[in-house]
Amino acid sequence: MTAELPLGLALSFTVATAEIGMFSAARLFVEEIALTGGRSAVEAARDVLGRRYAVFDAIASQWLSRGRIPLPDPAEVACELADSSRVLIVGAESDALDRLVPMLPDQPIALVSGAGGPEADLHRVAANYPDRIEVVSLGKWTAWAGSKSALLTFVYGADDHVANVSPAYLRLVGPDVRASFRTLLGWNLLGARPRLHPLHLAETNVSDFSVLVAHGDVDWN
Amino acid sequence: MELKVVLPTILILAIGWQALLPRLRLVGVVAAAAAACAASSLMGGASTRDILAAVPWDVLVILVALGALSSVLAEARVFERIAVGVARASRGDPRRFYIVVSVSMFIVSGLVNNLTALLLVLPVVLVILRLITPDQRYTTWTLGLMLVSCNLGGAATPIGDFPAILLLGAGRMDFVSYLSQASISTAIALGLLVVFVRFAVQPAGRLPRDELTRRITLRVAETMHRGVRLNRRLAIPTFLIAAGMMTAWVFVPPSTGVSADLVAWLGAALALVIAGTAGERVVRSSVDTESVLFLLALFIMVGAVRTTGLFELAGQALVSLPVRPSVRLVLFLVTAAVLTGVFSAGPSMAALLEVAGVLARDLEPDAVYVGLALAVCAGSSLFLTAATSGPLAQAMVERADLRDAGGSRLHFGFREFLPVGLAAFATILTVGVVQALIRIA
Repeated sequence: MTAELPLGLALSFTVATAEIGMFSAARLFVEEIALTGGRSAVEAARDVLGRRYAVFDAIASQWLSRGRIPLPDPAEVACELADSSRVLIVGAESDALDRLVPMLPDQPIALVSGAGGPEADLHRVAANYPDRIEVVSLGKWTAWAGSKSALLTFVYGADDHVANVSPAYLRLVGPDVRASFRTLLGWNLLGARPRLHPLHLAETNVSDFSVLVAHGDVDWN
Repeated sequence: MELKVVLPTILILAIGWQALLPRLRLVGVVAAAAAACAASSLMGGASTRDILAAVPWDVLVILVALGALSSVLAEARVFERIAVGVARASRGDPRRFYIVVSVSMFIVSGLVNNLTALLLVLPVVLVILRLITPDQRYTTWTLGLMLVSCNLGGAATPIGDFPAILLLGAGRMDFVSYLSQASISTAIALGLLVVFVRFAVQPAGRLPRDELTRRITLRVAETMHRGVRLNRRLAIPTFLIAAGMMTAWVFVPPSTGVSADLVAWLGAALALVIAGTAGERVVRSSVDTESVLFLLALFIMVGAVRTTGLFELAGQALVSLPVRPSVRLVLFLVTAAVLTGVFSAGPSMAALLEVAGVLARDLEPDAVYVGLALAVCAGSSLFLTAATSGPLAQAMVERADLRDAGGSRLHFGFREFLPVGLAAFATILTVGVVQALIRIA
């Protein structure tokens, strides 16, 4: 079965996750694999890529069970951020940001760069949101802190106690950072925690977030 | 010791220094220029004031002005749109990708600063290469051909790169004459190279024909730039100004007092003013100070040597060789190409143009100058270190961590580039020599 898949698929996926985010890359790959190879190819890809990328495994499983992949619903996140004066974001998920940014027309938004891990040129990412998103280096986060500031990151599955986040988030968030933002918002893109151990993600306590927005199952492909 | 020995020695040492120690090239040539001025002033030669007065400031003005225009276009997101266009035109197919990239970079480099173009387009090209997961052969020839195309594009128009700008600024050739001859020759050279690579090298020959990778490559490239819009407020005026500048270069004779450098200066100033804060940002942070200082130092050293009459002597020696004029021209062009390969384009062109001036007295000047531009282009393409864009591309490729489908790291260094460089050197030099011989026949 694996012979049908390109040998370099895992490497391509790694590149895509850095450029457009892990959830968005997994959705794109599953869609394209399904289009070119159908269900059997998605199953094969899940076997090959899923072992290394738990998010891909979860998205592929979702497609296999439901035949479609839900896009992130930004309504609740936008509602939680409505009173924030500015929003600092760790991580770049194109599917999520494309929907959220238009719903926050008045708040300045910034992406944190230099937090480590696979990271694209965030200026290139920000160029997709002309005059809306700027890029700040990790050391400059204090300029975005404040009593009405929010820190947003993407969560790749959570249960009652533990949430999977990018390691970059943990590099930024310490006790001093937590105290400097009014809202620490986790946007859960996957729902339940992946069934496989996520090698490329870190774990954090759910209680660290002031708000954890659960996966919205509204906007379908 | 005589000035005729001291000044050329300083120039040769400086050229050798910058070739051997590229990381210290700027301090080397700047110090050598100061030494040349000091030697000339203290040993009874031309004063520093006279040497500085002879610097072709017009060339530096054109270089800075065109660089500023390129930077405004970068602010307008023109290069990102070009990168998306490259991805779409190639349809994510490795068999088309390297051809589309090389042709695109040829065109772009003819119109804007090729270093700016490379800095902004190469990152996207590298992402696409990483998605394709190529082998070493494909990586080498795609990136190598891209660099050579930048060199060829730079030589195709009088505003593409330093050697051609020098010809235009120094008044050796007018805009139309250079454009009409060089654009055709460089296009022929590119065509021959692409055909050679496509059918003889077949860089994509060992890559599997894979529909899924092709589709994913294209879709990721499009998604990466899904919201990038051309800033029309910046792009449209800048394009109109660039078109106006070209019209002025073509139709306004220098006898009116409106010289090529004045056109460039006025055009760039207007574009920067219209760009507002983006223009201010460009002036403050995007002017290529390194290139300007490097060339200024070279001009000072070459100017000091010129006062000794050494270039005139070298030219006369070449002219007096007991061979036919056509053989003389070919010897000069081959020497120019090899010297450029070793010492890079800036120093070679600055020094050789003086010798070319002597040759051009007896031969058709356009044949000598366009031939020299192509020979310098051939030399720039011989080694990865011969043009500024080479080491820059090498560093960017290393940072990109390219890997083949098996996970092995791919490289793009001096050794990998050499086969591409030899093929490009032979092709471009042959085209340059042939066009020069046809011209003087």
